[in-house]
Amino acid sequence: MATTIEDDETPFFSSSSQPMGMFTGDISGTGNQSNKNELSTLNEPVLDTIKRDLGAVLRKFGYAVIPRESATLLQQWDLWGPLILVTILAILLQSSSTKVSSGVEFAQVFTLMLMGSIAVTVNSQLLGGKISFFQSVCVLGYCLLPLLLAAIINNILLYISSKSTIPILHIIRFLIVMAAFGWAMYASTRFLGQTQQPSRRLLVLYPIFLFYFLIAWLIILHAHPK
Amino acid sequence: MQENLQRRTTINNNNNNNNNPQATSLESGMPSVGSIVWTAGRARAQQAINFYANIDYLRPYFDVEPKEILRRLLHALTPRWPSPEENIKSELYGPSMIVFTLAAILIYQMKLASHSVEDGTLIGTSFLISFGYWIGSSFAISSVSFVCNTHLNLIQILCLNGYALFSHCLVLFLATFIHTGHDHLLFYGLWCIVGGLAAIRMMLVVMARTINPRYRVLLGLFVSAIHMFFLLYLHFAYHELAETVSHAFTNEATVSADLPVIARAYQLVDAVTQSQEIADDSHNNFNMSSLSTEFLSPIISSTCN
Repeated sequence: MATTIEDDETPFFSSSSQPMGMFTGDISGTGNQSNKNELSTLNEPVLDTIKRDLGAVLRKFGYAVIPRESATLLQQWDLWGPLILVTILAILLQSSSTKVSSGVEFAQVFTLMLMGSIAVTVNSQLLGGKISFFQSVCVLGYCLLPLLLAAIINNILLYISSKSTIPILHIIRFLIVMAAFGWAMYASTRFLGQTQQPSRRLLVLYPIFLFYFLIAWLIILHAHPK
Repeated sequence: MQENLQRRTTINNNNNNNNNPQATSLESGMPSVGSIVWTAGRARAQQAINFYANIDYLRPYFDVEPKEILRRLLHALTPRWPSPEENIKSELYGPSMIVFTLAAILIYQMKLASHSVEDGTLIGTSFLISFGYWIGSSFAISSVSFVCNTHLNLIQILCLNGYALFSHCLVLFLATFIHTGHDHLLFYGLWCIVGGLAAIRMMLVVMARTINPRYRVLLGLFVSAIHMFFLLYLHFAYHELAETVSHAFTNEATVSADLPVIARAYQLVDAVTQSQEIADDSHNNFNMSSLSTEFLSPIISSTCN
């Protein structure tokens, strides 16, 4: 007991024998496992980092395309996928040939994504769920993949229809985009619907439905730039 | 990545807690740059915490079941004199979702009409209009009802006003998707019937809670006037294409030909609806039923820009 009191009362710059050991140490860490992991990723080659992160992004795309029971999207969220998808979608949805409004149209998709994520997050938190803003951006962004594929097919079909006049193409376009909308809705339901009690699930899903529906209609209404 | 972020924030918090509030430099008594930065960051963090506390304050108003929401949506269009013991348990989920839906419908209408906005984006404008009207008109009604001594608090008015916007969503949705030969008549009919029902319902609830008969009438007229005029404003400000299309159907000359897309839409819809008699090259092969014509005419008009 007496020794511990002595230790507590040891002043900072004393010249007693013990304190010198306190100021020396290993810079590589205090033996904490996560500390070691954190520093080890700084030393690894850049190619390894890129491969690992790219693999994670591609794996999440896989989860978005084939929805499975997995908590990966929510727990290990990242924003690369949403960034890539929203940028490509914004480029595809530009229809104006003038420079002034094309910039505004490009920003509209980003604004829509931002507003949609804020709405989904706030709504989910107010209904008792535990989801953060970045998690909802991650899930909404990754589940945009089917709609992006539909937008690409839409542009191809528009190009074909500008060369020839086949009326059925418009109906095909509509059906493809609606199918992609249903797919995106189902995928995000599997991820975001899990964070709620069953009776409230419909309440959480409505803003997501609105968000994807709006994007689907923007794709359908898109005209090929001349 | 998330673990790193969390570790960094906890380390920062620990560092901040250990610092002195206002560390001054040794030479003069002026606060150092670091301490200014830290104080500003602390103030901002407290603002963020207050924001989250506000979310908790709103949480009880989001405690509803889907069936209850559907019931309230239906009752928003059925005017009846509320009984005295009836207590409006207000909730904010239904109104918020209705306002989001209204914003989505406005975005769709503006896209159809190629409405251009100089400052800001289309989406920002529609959100501003929808949320601005909901909150602004609720505050206005709340102020007037305070003067008229009505037994309604702000949250109840927000709830009532939000559910009344369901009529706006319905009317604009139907007016956008159904294009017939009598577009104006359809809109005015819907405006009177659906808008009127919701306005009367809101008016009766507000009137039932006001004691003074003169104030009762005044408040009732004020509430229904705001409601009906907003629907008119939404239609005429954001629904140019439908009006031009209706002119095309009745073969009247259009007044505004500023936007080229509207002039061409006039030609195209004219061609499509005058049953394959006009030799327009790109639309000769369209042989659709009338329902799909109405449904796809916005697509056709925007496709051939």
